[in-house]
Amino acid sequence: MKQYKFEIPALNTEKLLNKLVLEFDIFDIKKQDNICSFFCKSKQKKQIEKILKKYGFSIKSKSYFGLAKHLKNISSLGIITGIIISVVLYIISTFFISNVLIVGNLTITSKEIMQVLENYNINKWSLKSSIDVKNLQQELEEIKYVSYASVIIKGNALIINIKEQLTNNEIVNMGTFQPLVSKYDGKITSIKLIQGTSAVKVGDIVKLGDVLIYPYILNDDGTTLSVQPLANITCDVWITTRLEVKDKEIKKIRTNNVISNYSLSFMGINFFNTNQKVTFSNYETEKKECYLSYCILPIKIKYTNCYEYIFKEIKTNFEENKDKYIEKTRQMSLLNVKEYDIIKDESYVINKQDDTNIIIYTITLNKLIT
Amino acid sequence: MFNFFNELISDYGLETSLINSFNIINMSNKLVYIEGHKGVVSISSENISVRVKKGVLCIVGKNLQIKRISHTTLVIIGQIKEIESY
Repeated sequence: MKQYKFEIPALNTEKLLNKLVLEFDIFDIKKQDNICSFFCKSKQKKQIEKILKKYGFSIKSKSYFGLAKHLKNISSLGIITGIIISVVLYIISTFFISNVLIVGNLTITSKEIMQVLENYNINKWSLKSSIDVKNLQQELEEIKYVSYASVIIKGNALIINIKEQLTNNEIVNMGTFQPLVSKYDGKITSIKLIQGTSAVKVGDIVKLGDVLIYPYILNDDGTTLSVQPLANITCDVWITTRLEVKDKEIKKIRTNNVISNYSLSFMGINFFNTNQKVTFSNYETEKKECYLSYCILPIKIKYTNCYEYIFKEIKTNFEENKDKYIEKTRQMSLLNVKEYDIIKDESYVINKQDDTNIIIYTITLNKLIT
Repeated sequence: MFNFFNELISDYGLETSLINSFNIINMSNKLVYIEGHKGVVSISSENISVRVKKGVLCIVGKNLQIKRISHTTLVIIGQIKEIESY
């Protein structure tokens, strides 16, 4: 049942769809003018939206379809009564806590925090008015390694935000940091330096392993201080695939002539052989072994088939099938594009050398290289 | 439950290894059912390519769209002209 429609403007939505298929029901997938549209169940739309945003896909439009679209026009008494009852139940439910959210804890387990809540008789469906937020906050701050805790009630959720005590990374790992290096070959398009000293600038061409950010900063007095290098650097990465198509090619082709021999053996001892002579000048052999299925005894039958082949010159009309070869090269290039890579541009070049046509297909990706 | 491909294997005495890759059913050049795909490579209204074991399957036609997709099966509808395997 289709209910919710997504439209995404992007070139490489295929990889995204492959990922979505594993978790969600999506259907009626179309792609026109680089806009991919698909339907999903409305209950899954938020999760899908979250994934799309996570991987940097912009959503052109999203709309309700099917039953959901018509629900707002229904004026049946039963539905109105249902809505009123739901509203009353909703108002009653606002007096209670329905969810406890714990955020910010890395080393402290949620169980430890829940233990403190249990001591205060706070569970799901506890009355909001019975919760003393200030006292609870103080109690939580007494947990070992908690430097600060905040407790708020938002809607039906009790949100506990924990800030843990941190050890200073710069002091603990003094002088042991490694420089940030490039993971790909490409041309830098943006640099967002968080910590460290940049070794490159926008427009530089970098190779795999080149240093991007040095693990130190210069102080005002000229001394250097070791820091963990951190930066978000994006660059244009080129994926190139080459396809060679020869105008003439000599291929090995099997004729329909076959000479078959078989032998029967019992417990490794051969007791029957057909010995037809192979009269072909060029042939290849295929062997197969199996047990006789209609016999109780373990009698093994071994087939040896000799296939005659000839060499034939095959001419290729490159100009007529050019589009097909270009598409084939494109498919080969797309196989090297990783999940959620954003394709910036696609182009191809055709060269001719003697009797060989060479198609070079280039896909430009915009990638985070740190 | 009835399994079309298993019935085919048993009726004609074929090897079971025949169905360990991918299977295609083309219904009147209007619907293609693919079993055993390994993900979509590209989509457009004229061309849909899917990855299969040891290659790519290319469906060429007009007004093509993926009607239904799961992690192993796929249903494509539209005016199908060609099915190619690279």
